[in-house]
Amino acid sequence: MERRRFLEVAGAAGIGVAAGCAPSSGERLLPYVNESDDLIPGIPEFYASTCRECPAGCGILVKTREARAIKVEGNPLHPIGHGKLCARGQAALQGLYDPDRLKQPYRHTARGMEPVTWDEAIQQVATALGAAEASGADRVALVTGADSGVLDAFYDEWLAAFRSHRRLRYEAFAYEPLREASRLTFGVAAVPEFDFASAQYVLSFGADFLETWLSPVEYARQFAEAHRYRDGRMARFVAVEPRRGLTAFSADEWIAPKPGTEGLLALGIAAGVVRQGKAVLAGGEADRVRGFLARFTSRSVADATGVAEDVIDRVAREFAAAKPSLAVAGGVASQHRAATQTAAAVNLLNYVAGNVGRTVRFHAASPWDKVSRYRDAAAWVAAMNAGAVDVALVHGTNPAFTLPATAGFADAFRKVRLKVAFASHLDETAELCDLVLPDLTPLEQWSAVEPAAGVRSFVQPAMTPVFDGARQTADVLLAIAARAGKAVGKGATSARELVAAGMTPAALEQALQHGGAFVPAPAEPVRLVPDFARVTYQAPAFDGDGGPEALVLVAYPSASLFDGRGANKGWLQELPDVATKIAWQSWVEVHPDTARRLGVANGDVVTVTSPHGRVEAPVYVYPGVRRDVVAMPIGQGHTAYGRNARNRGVNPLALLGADATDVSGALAFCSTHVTLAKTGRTVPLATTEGSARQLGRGIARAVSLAGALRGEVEPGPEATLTDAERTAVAAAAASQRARANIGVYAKANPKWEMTVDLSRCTGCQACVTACYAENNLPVVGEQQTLRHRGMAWIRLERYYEGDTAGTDWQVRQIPMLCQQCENAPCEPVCPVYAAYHTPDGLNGQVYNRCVGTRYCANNCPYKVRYFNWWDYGRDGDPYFSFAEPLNWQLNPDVTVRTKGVMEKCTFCVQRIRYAQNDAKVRKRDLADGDITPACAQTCPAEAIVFGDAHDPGSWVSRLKEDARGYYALGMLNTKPGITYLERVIADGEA
Amino acid sequence: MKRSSYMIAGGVLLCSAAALAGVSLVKGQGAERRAPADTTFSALPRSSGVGFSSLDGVRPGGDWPRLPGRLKGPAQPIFYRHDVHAGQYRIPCLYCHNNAANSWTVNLPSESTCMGCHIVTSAPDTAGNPNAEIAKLRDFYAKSASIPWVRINKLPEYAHFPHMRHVAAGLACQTCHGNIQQMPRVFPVRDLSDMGWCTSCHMQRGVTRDCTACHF
Repeated sequence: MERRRFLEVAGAAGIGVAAGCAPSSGERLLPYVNESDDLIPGIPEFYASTCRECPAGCGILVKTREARAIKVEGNPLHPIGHGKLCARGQAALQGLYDPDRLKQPYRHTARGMEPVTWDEAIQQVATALGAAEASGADRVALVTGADSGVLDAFYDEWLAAFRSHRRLRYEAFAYEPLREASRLTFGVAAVPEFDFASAQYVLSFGADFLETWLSPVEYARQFAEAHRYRDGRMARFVAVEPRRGLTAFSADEWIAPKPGTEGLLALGIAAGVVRQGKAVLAGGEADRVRGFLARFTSRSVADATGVAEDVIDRVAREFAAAKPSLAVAGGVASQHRAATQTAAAVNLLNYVAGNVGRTVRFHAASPWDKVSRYRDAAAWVAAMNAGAVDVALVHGTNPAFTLPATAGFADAFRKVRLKVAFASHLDETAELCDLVLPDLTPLEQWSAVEPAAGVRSFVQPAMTPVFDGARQTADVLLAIAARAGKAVGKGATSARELVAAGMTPAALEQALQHGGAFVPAPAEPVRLVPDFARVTYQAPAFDGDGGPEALVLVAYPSASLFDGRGANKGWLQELPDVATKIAWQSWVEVHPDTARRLGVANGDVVTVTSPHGRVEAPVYVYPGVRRDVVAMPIGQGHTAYGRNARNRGVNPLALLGADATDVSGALAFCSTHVTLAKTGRTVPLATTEGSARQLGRGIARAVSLAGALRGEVEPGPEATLTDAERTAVAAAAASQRARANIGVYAKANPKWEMTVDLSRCTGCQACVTACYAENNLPVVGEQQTLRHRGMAWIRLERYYEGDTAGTDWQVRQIPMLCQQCENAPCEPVCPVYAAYHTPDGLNGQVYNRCVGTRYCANNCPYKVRYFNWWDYGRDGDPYFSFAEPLNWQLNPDVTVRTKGVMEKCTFCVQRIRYAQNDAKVRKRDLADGDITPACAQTCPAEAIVFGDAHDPGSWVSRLKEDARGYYALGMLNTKPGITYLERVIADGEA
Repeated sequence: MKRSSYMIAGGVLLCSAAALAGVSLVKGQGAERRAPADTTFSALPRSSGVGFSSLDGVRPGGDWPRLPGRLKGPAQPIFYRHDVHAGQYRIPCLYCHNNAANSWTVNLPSESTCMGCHIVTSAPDTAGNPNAEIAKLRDFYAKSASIPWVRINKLPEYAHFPHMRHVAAGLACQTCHGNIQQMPRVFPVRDLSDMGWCTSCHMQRGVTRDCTACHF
């Protein structure tokens, strides 16, 4: 396979407007020396690999053009994700092409970072390792992220060659309470496999399974399958957490217990199930469980949790009646000192309801088994403090950022004689290291991981490394071992050979084509251990003053930035938080009543003080937190890690106590009281929020399950039009459309339309980032976001519905993108026909015609047209968005727009034209499903369906006939090409 | 066998076989990648009575088309003569620019394609001296260096042109690129940013005039 660069056009790398045919421009065309076996310029190639942006390990296909990765999509053959991907997975490309990546090895000296050669670096490490080995056992530490499979085993072998077993697989979010609770209740220290798809009732105790929890893409896919409304059926979802986040936006009911009492509530519900005689238990076990749960009466639980008694009884009744149901726990935001007890209580709840073995399944091995606990990381810090570590090698993890400041990591780390970072980016940990060795990103690497039982998932390079100076860590470790005279890796000389070891070439090829080898893993039956009662509930302690006005800090993982590793990627920074709609910043969520009491409003900067530290951040007044809770997202507050992350926002981990752990040895992220004090300063919030209320416009509609079963829908304002009004607007529409037409309508044409099922959409925003990747959308930055000049062609709108004073209110979310109106307000106002109607039903936008009057955007009622205020694609512009090599990611099929041009969604018209041309040359007809816009392709919930509405058999044609279908702002008679299907809310007792 | 090896083998075949009448010189791409060898050749003037044999009348060292006094077009790193290859030797365009038949973008031939013939053919001049331009090619190839060809034709980047559709429709390359087979050094014959040129043809033929057929 030769993959030399082709068509490297000197000067303009696909950006901007060209000067037409100008032979004097001096552009050069470089041919291949040897033709590639499989590369055809202009035709994309796909490489199956595995996403490594979080430990979940979704299967991906990397789309390459001319040997450059330009898009990441899910691998439909892969059992994790099934062809879907989240925003973080989509943004892996921005890690690959980050201009701030490490490009060569460096040595930290008193004078700063100095370049060294690889040979010098390898020699220095080998020498230090030799000395460390000579001075005793376990004096070398190798710290990686969650890892599994062949390279993980190699790391252990490599470390053992230097007489050390000090290996850490450090993850900030390691879900220790889940493992420990499984051990305490079932005798299996494993994270179970959850089956959301077949659950008829989902009860989540703080598990953000649609955001970051364990395997969010796969769970979102499964959850949507269960929770969507079809044929009069849907699962009910009740979210139990003190802060309502993205996951709980999909909930049919939100229950906000006192922080720390989730486990008690779970026991109360389990007791209710038993008391109502619905427990799936027999014999002595039933007696033991009944005896244990007897003391958790609804009254006592209601008193302690603040959840009404009748709610507890009702949830118990519903949970037991649904066969099967599913309860989950263990989200990071609710990881307090009683987190293991909460998870154990939820295990018991699942057990009494008969879910264990059905929706909760255990396997002999789980990928989380070997992930280190926070306690192990703390022990490593103590060992370094004690001078027991001579050489520390850190790879693929950033403890300097994700350990709480009070853990004293930096000071302990400095005591290590030689600290080596194997990192693709200069993060906080790498900044502390003596040697910084540039690593390849996962899109350039070889590996094989085991993200779930029975899944051997391969990681293969989709392209040659972006920077020649970077090397894969396993390759470097092999070189170091060779220099030190150690024989490791069973004769392998590279990571590729390690991965391929023991496989025939044919088997390897097969695995690489499919993304891996997948065999169904049998579930192991488990029983309740006899002494399950030893994990009983106890109220967790919170550091700090717990007076009547005390506020509990909930530090929650950002859905886009995860544990902070997403913060260097512009696409993720610009992705607004779903709840607050804030991008690029940190904030403190405060309940409206609490804000009133404290006298603070949106944007007021407050000092958040805990017994362990203080940070300053602006307030966002949010009804989705309890009055006694303030919430802050984890992920910002980097002091290094590239231009997008550095010196941006604050890190709430600075407020946590390093000794706050639960019995599993997990860090208690929710363990401290804080006080808020006004600083008197106010900063503008970079929010994309417009109105938080729909104000009768009927944009995002929902109907109750009972209503849907009766065939009812939520009417919109168009229902108030009289017949005369209807006739008049229809006539005006027809004449307006006639004037706007310049397309060829004589022949039969397809009509491209879309449906968005709001009963599936979870608001995860994977579509938004996929659109950035596909359509060359610029990242405009915080300043332009503050001026509402973001360029996201598709955005998630969030509205509150109901009285937000209590917990009985709903969130309405709707993806808003160009509606491709048949009677489009934008078209007739364009003086130059840049906005026009295509024969196949799109609102075409011809960038080279556009003169930038912005009349179209003014006239668009959906506000989905975006103006280029700056030359985001021109080097030298103050808001240049594609600094080399970020421009390598640009989709060659899509024009990069220039300053003064209006742009918008066109249903990925480049994909439509590609498929149409491809079908023509192959002499076949397009089939339904041949064309998938980037948003629909990645949607984990499969909420978005695209197709030809003129084909009565197409999926989209059938869906748009659904009784729940409506047009957003339909009363304007725009005749949109997008039909939204009303969300169905399973409120009330089913 | 790798594609590049096919290319070299094919090239050697091209040079050594006396008559290849009717044989498509476009390498096999499978049925789905269409490679109609004859359509792009249709606009070429055929010399009298020689049929379609590619190597008819090859007389190395002599009878090459005369060079005009002043060459149009920019000087290239190698004085590659389309008038010799495509004109006199009648090598189909798609032999080298094979992706025109199956992709939006057209490839420059890889150097291995050139070497397919020139590993054998050296075309010494009348005095028997080895051809200096071929020596340059062999030098680039030996060093694994790309030849920095000067770009002649470029569509504006806001326009996307599906070459394979136009090849499949039987349009001659010369329609837009001019009589390349008569050009010792290639020069542009049309302003490709002139959309009127595209639309006039599309209107004559009654094919799409939708803006987003090309502009997206």
